[in-house]
Amino acid sequence: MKSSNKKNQKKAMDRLVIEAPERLCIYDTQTFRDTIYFLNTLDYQVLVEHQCVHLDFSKTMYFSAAAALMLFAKVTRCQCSGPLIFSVNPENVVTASLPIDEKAREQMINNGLWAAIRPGGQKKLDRLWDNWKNPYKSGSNPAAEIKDVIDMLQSRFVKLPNKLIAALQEAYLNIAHHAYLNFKSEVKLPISEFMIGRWWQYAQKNKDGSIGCIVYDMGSGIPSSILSSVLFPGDDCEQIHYAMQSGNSRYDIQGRGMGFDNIKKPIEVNASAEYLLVCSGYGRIFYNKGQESERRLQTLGIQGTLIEWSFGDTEK
Amino acid sequence: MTIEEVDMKTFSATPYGRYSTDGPSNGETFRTKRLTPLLKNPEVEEVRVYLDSVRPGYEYGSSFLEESFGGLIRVEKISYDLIMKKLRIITSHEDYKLEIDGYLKKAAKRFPK
Repeated sequence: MKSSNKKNQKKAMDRLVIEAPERLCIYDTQTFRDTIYFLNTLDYQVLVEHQCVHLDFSKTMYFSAAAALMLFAKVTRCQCSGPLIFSVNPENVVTASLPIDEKAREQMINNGLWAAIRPGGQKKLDRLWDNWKNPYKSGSNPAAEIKDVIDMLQSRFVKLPNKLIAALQEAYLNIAHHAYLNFKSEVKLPISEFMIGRWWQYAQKNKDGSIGCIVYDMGSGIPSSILSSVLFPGDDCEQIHYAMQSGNSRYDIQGRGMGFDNIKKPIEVNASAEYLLVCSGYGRIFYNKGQESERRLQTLGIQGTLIEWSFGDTEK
Repeated sequence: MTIEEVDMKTFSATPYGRYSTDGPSNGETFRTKRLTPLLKNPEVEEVRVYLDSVRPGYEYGSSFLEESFGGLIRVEKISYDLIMKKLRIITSHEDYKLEIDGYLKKAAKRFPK
């Protein structure tokens, strides 16, 4: 393994090396800041500075599921956008080296993250889609993809939490309707086609029987998207809270604004449900047992929206 | 007078979304192509909609159901009373019946005859 690390460092000589934090995690305040800063640096160097980068995970000891999904999303967006923005082979945009810590290295390889962020472009995403053992997926056409999503989740979980499929559909629809309005303007950006409707997903059953399902998009975020429809906008947590209430939508059309009812429902109808986490813009809200249990305003934005459903052992 | 049956699997095994921009098997298309012509046809006495023939594991999202059924009143201007008289939802999932009824009642409240 030493020689492999050395090889990665050598490869990294012609590119900017970005060192990953010890803990990639968005749940704790300190690790949240370090994680977002690391991910934003990756975005900035590739998308703004047009710089190929090498991600050095040698000091990383831990990846949370949500942070790992965000890493997958950022890396694959850079890999698929880089060739369109600065004419580089997708294989060259982002490379990475594994953690030295054995547990972290095994975690990264065994849970599919290493395969998900390895060099490659759209073809790699297509291969990941076809590999149902890998929990990292990305898509942008849910009407065509929902069949596979159902089959994949059923193959991963013996007992799928009730109303999770309905919740995922509404999450994808929110992404399609609200998240990427900036990319839908008449002036098309090179990455518009890749980004419109784009979502990244992680769904895994852990060894203890618990289940996590996370969807992330890199759109404008709920607070920004809902801003025009509220009279007295509060902070980002207030905006998320508003969006989560039944009937509230950025569109003043009767019948709209039911999507978040579906998104909350798996937490309300499953005995094993632990929490729903909604992070968007600078805000985050935990929801469980039919009510908001925690809200926190962050010092850095997550550039999009992340929704996580967490369940205990569904087979108990 | 006839009884017409609408089996969801003949429309889609995975109905998805509200509008045609969401995909081909959306609620608006289901409403306009399958439900409205039958409900507006005076020769049709009863319309039976079978919801359970979808893909195993599939669950209906609120956007599809609201646009399909709430839209009958909101968009097609069919009265709540006529819908109650002619429409039969056939499903083993009682929650879908309640959800659809909720969308119909809400639309009827906002768009009374």
